[in-house]
Amino acid sequence: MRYFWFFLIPSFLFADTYIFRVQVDQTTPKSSVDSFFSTKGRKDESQPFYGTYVLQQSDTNYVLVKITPKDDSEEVLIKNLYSLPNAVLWAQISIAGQGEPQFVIDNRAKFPVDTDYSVVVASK
Amino acid sequence: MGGIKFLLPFLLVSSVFALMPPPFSCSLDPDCLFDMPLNEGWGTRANDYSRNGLTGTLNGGPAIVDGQGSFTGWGTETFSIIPTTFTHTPMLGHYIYFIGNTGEDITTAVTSLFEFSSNKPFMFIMTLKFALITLSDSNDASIMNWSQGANLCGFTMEAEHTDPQREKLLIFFPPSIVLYWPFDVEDTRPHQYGLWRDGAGNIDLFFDGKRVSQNSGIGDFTSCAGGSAMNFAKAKGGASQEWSGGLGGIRFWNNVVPRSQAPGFFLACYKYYNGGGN
Repeated sequence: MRYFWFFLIPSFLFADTYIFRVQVDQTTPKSSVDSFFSTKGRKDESQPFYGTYVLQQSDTNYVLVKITPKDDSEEVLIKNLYSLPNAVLWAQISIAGQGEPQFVIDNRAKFPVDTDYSVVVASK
Repeated sequence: MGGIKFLLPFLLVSSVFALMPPPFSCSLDPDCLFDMPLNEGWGTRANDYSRNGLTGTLNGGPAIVDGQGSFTGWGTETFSIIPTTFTHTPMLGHYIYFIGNTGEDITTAVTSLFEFSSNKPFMFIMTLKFALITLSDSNDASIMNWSQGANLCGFTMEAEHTDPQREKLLIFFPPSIVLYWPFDVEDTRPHQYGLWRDGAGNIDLFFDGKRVSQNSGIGDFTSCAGGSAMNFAKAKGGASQEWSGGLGGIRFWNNVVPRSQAPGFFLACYKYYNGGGN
């Protein structure tokens, strides 16, 4: 009974992190993708891996969205992204305990993006 | 209220300890330019414990990993370490793990402190562990760049993909100097890499406290006018990409020990990380 609390830990604490490659264009610019996701996802101040990031590489066609769902509703949000024509799952990553990140799904080679992060390009 | 009074002394003491440098920092060494152990274990700041206090920022959400994580997968890899001595350098405390090409990196403020002249003597040590490469990518990945992006000044440390399971570690001093650590990296264990450079064209390379390369007649490198930033795991522009792997303690010295004493110096650095002394 003394360990019963363990089963009460919310499932999101063990959630994976998803990185989506989202296509950007005139109607869906980088800025709108950024503003949509910036308020979502788990934020863990002690572990920066668990944060939401809209990565600002210089690619003008795609943007990467790195998000760790914080609850069931955001799990649904992520599942909906799978079906969007302008978003593909680029990678699914988990970290166990305080170990290193491990790829659950790795589509990085399948869906290439510009990887030059040294220059931030203004949104379309 | 009573509870707060009770806790206050502990909070004060813990706050003081939080501001103190780690026990083996080089804060009292006047030649220590940069000391970033990356072992805080939390947050998005990377503290520099040298007298310069150059705080770094963790960008893009790299993972903070417990030092024990550096042993992940040891039993499953094929090892072919050169030099043949079975060596590694443990990560102390925590370290930072980057997933390449996802914008995860560490940046420091732009500063003139890193503006060395073209023949400035300096030394550094850095503990790295590579992730085995899964991308069929022929481009080099930038581990550290001490330069202004693609301006081709300062220097960069890069991993060159020679094989899907191998990497070569190189250091590039613009405009045209390239030096390799003389073996491929084929394992995921952490190793300490070191460089010694005097002002007379000599550069020695070290691996886990051992000198593995001696070079002479090396020309000066191109200085960055007006200061430059030191970044880790950040693409420096152009074809160079971001690096995947773990990064532990980094130290730079703004001076060098005599070349004859360099092996002893780097061996002591290695022993410190192995618990063999300061």
